[in-house]
Amino acid sequence: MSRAAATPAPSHLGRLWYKWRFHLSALLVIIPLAFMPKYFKDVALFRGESGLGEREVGEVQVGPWSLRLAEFRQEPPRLEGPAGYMKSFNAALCQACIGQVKATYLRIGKPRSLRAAGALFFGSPYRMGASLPIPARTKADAELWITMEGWDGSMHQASIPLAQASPATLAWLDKQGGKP
Amino acid sequence: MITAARLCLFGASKNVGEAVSAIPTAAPQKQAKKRSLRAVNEHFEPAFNVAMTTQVVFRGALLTLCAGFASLAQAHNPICQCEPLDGEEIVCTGGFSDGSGAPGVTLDVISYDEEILVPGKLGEDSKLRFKRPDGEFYVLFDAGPGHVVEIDHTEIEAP
Repeated sequence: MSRAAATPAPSHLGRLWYKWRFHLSALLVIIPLAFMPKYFKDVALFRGESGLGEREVGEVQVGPWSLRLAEFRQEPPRLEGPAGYMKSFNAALCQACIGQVKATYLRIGKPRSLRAAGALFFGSPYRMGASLPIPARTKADAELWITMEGWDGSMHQASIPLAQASPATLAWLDKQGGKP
Repeated sequence: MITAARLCLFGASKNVGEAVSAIPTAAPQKQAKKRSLRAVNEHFEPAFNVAMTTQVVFRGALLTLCAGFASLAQAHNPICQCEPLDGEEIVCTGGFSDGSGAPGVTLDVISYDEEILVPGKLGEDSKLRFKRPDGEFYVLFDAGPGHVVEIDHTEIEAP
């Protein structure tokens, strides 16, 4: 009596597994490739190769200076823990004002004072970033105020409608209905 | 037999040939075998060195990746909450979104016409108690330029 006869025949599933296991392992190697376009898109965004942000708002004149403003990501504000919902904007100072501007701030609504001018832009003047807190009770006609402080002590302000700066944020506010 | 793991003990920056010569000779009768292995190792030295460099680069990349995720997780946004106490007092608590407190940070109560009504600093427990001022005011938690939180008096409801 041969030993082979004593061995039970593999089940249907077992046969399928032995037949296709190599192909399955190859598939596991291929799966990460599906995420590569998103990965390279993000890398280009972080390095600035795809522009200042995902959606450029345009040039905003602030007194004698100007800056290019962009939404970092074209999406609603993100919940960042206990600090609430935050929205990221990027900005680039005009070439002539790089040496003159000390600080640039961003705020929803007109700032009461320079101390309360809002979120501070940080980073290179060619590509600065600011994370702006968005209160859930913000009204649809709210304005985004840009405050620029010069090394000479001067201060200039300008505003643009939030609807123009970030339609995604406005749509999110509409959906929230003023509720936190 | 000299394994790659044993070679790693001598540090990635060291040449494989040096690592081999640095291995202590435990038994004299094994000298001949080690000499022959040295020849093999010297032959494959460039390949081993490339592999080790890759390992070092991989470790570096892993560290960078971990640091990147750590920075994402450790956002440092200012937080301030004010609540009315019984009577005419308000207590404000400051901190940061990474869970750290804010003892000693400035917290001013300012009227709408920019007059500082209560110039204060948070205590050791990151809290400040003050009497509710008359009229319209706002609370400014000021942890530095761009790190401020404003709370309007309308958001601090009376009990």
